[in-house]
Amino acid sequence: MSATTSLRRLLLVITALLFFVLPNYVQAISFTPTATDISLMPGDTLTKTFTLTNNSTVAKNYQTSLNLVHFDSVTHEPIFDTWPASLNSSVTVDTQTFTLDPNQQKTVTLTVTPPTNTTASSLVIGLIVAEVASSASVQVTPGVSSLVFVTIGQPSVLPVITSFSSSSFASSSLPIDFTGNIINNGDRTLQPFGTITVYNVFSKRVATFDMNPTLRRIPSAQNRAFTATWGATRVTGNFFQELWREVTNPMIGFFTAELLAAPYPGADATLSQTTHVVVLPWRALIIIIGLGIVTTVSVRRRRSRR
Amino acid sequence: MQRRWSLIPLVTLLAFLAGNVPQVLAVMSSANYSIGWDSVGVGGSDTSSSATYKLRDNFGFVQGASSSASYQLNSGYRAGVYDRVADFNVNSQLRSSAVAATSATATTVTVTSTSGYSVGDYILVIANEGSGQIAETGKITSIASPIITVDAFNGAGPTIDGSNDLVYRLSGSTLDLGTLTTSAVTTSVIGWDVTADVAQGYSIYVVEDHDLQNADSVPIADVADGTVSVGAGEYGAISSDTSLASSTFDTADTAITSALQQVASRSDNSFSTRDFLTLKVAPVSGQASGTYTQTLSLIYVGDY
Repeated sequence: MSATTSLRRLLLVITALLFFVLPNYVQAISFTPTATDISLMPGDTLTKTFTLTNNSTVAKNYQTSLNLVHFDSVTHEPIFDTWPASLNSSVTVDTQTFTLDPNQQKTVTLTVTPPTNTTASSLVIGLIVAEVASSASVQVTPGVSSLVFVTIGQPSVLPVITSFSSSSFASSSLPIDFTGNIINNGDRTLQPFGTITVYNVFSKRVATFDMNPTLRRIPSAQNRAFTATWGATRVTGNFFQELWREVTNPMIGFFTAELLAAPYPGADATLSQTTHVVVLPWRALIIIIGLGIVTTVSVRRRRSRR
Repeated sequence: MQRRWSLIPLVTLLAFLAGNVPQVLAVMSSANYSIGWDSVGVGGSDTSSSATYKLRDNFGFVQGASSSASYQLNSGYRAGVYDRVADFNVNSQLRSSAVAATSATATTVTVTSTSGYSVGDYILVIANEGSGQIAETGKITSIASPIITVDAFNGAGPTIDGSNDLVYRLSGSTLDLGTLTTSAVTTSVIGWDVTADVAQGYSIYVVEDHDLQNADSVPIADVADGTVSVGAGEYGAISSDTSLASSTFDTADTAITSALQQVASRSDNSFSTRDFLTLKVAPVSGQASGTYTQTLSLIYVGDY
């Protein structure tokens, strides 16, 4: 037996032993918050804290880094750009590298201090905390990011509702989707906040629901569609299932839906638009009219017999 | 008598319309305000801090929740306050854990040996290991040798027939690419699991520290034609997520670069959602020998 063969066998045995001897270890982290907002005036200082937990079963080293973030106009995905040195004195992280034992937590503090001569503007910071590779081979490490939406001063707020409409003008029953498209033509990141209220033909309120319940943001120069559903979502059924739906959840008439929202929490509600829908439960109406005809005919026949 | 009968359709119609009652969904917000949370009958401050500690204390609150058709109440200390948390779990294919698979169902896989596998492990099931392999991942919920049961498989649903079908454990951070050869495409898988209380969803991005290279900084070139081919001297990866908006990892073997690129995404709250990335390496004839190294970082980014 050659020395090479013996060595190969030894390596195979060691590898097999390692599989059984080494405990399975989980490589996991948790992070909060995953997105946040900072609003301050030039010259002021604000801090935000983030908490990282090492959920792995072994100690891990971590490293923080900053990126400037912009957003793809089509996919809306964040794009992480190189951090400009010009912002080094304005944005700082209190720790660069650190080690956490299993289940240990670390608070990372981000401090933002825009110079007093900073013009009103907004920027998005990508704070990334990533595990540091432990050895030289092919290593795979998890990392997490938080998007920090910073508003400095009072940048321009120019939201425009480009459309507000229902999923269809005429429906036989609920649900009906209402979709509002908003474009952010200003410099401030928007977070539309408001309601869609549905009124019947007598101007009586029928339903009210949040137009952006999860407070999605619209970065500058981006547009977003916000969809809210009037009625419970469901799968469209056959004729009889839809008929049953129309009878058990009666709704009929001409309705007006009004979108009323503020461009961000705390601002005045300046966004307003209306649209109209008709709910016509035609299956139920056909049955009712049919019953009416049958009843009328039968009554006339009885009368003619007398 | 005739008039009474004639009224029946009209009464029926009115009864139908009468059911059209207002359906008010009350919410604690308007266009101008939102009450996130509030404390009633409480004085003083519930937070305190110094340079070395921070305390959020409470005493005597009763936690609970109740609701009816028209309202919802969550009571208790800071019941309305919570920060979005993301749990991110990344693991690599452990080559030494390979066992042959002979058959599989929607949640089980039958293997030749279950030694070394435990409940809670993440596993990778591969059909026809190689450049055209089809894979899926799952988390073990029970083992009754020789059958491993998982909570659910996610992936392309490979057909396991016992021919070049294997099961691996996903564990740890070291990815063993094995011995690279010019006569085959070597594959290796990175899997992840995300639980995130983020209503808008999330994306996972991949980034490298440098090309896959040996100690002399000789790299294996990034794939450029969408397919890592045998002997072509190419390196790339493809994702199990087949609906990516901003990269080609869903449809083609794609180069990993030093820029963050999307390899998975979801558009709503996620509980233990999983995807994986299949790395493919095909050295060219005459490729410099040595140990090739690289650090790949998978970055979780919550949508906004």
